[in-house]
Amino acid sequence: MPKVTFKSHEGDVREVDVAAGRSLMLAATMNGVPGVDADCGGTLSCATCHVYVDPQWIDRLPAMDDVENDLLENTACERTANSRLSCQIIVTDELEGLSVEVPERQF
Amino acid sequence: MSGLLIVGGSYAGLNIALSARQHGFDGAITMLTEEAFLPYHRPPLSKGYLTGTVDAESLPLRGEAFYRDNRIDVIFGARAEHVEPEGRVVTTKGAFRFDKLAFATGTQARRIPLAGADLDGVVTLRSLADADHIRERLEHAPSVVIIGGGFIGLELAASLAKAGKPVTVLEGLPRVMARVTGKVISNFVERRFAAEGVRILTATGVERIEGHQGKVTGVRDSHGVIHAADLVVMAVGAVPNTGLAEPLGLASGQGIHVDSCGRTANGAMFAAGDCAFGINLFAGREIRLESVQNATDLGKAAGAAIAGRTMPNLSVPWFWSDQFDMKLQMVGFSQDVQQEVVRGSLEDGKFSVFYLRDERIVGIESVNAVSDHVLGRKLLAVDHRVSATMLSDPAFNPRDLIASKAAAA
Repeated sequence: MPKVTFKSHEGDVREVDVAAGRSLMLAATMNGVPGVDADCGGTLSCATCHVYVDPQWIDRLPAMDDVENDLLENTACERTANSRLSCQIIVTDELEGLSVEVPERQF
Repeated sequence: MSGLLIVGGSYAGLNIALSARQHGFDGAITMLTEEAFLPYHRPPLSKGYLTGTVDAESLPLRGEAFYRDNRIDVIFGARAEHVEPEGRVVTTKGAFRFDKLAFATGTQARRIPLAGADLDGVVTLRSLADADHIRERLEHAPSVVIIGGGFIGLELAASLAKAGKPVTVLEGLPRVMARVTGKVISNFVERRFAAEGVRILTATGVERIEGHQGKVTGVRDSHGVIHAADLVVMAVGAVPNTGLAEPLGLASGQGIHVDSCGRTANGAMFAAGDCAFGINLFAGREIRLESVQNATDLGKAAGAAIAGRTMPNLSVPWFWSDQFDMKLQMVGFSQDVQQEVVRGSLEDGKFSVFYLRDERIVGIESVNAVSDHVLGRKLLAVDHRVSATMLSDPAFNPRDLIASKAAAA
């Protein structure tokens, strides 16, 4: 089971297990990682599962589609070149060790 | 154990608990739910969960770790029967004491009292158990009739059509989703369903449900036509669960009365979510909203109030529905508007209807136009001025209304 790491805005680090094939959003919500609100449950409707992907990882993720790109225009915290919606990142064995930072707020 | 007692285990209940903790409430928090599950995402029940693309493991809003970390005790299978105002709720799982009580009781599916409504095979969809029940029945139901062409009725119809099931939708009003969208969207969606082979009959009520030996066999519509059915889904809206609050004088048929912070007239009692009726600051009037967004945001306001903080719900209401490949997103309201402007292309299936009142955009309804929707969630919250003429010009970018606002500030 791949391990992924969430860093909070305050610097707390939490490493969680996630079954390959599940989304990074689910890894956060199921493990009680604070700050990933995920209001719409991963249906690309809300933009409240925003994360900043570690620069070392950003280019190793599958590219985002237009809807995710559009939704990222509405994040509560500023969008950067490393911004992604965690619901659209499917965790695979290749992503073992993926690290992301959770923004200060989602709404 | 006293502390905060939350009746209801869905979006509002969860957000009340979380927000109370975040704002410093340190007492015990107990959540009562009638169901056997932790709070879960309901929108997939009529869509991915029904078609099998979403499984039960991905439904919970939060995993067990969340409840443990936030010291939220969830009592399953506890149906609250009545509230003693001195500080006790009697349930099927015993009595629970409270210092503060939050109603997050939601709604129940409305059932029209038609002849035949109690036949075997007439169902509603509200909970995970309902969805499992429908899934099971679908295996032995060659034909399905859905009564009601609102979000849930249409989402169900699309899911069934995708699975190759013949389905008929009966809608009493002249167009689908009349309560929640404007004409342009309704008409567009009706054409899309027709193209997918789904029969939608508008301005068609239901006279009675036909059966044989206790089992449903069809629906007789208001024109006297009988539509054969092995399964009939009543998707005709929902009624607020006010039974606990009414004897306390805190509710009417419209819902449990609250202010913009989710406070009832009783200082120890709060309410949020689909069951709550009260002033919506964006709408400027008292309403009861049925939506994930409102349950979440009013829940947060109520949780803050429970912790002694005044944080009114200022959110701009938004809604969504996914039907076939159409991503429908609504922000604000389209009632009592003076003008409407369509931007984008109906032909390409990507457009939005902008609704104006006094040269201000008060609502946007989008089909596969996510950037319009997300813009709306920001724009509708701030003061701005725009004419229908300006908005009709494809070269005009509504995003500039926010940009110019920021530049002026």
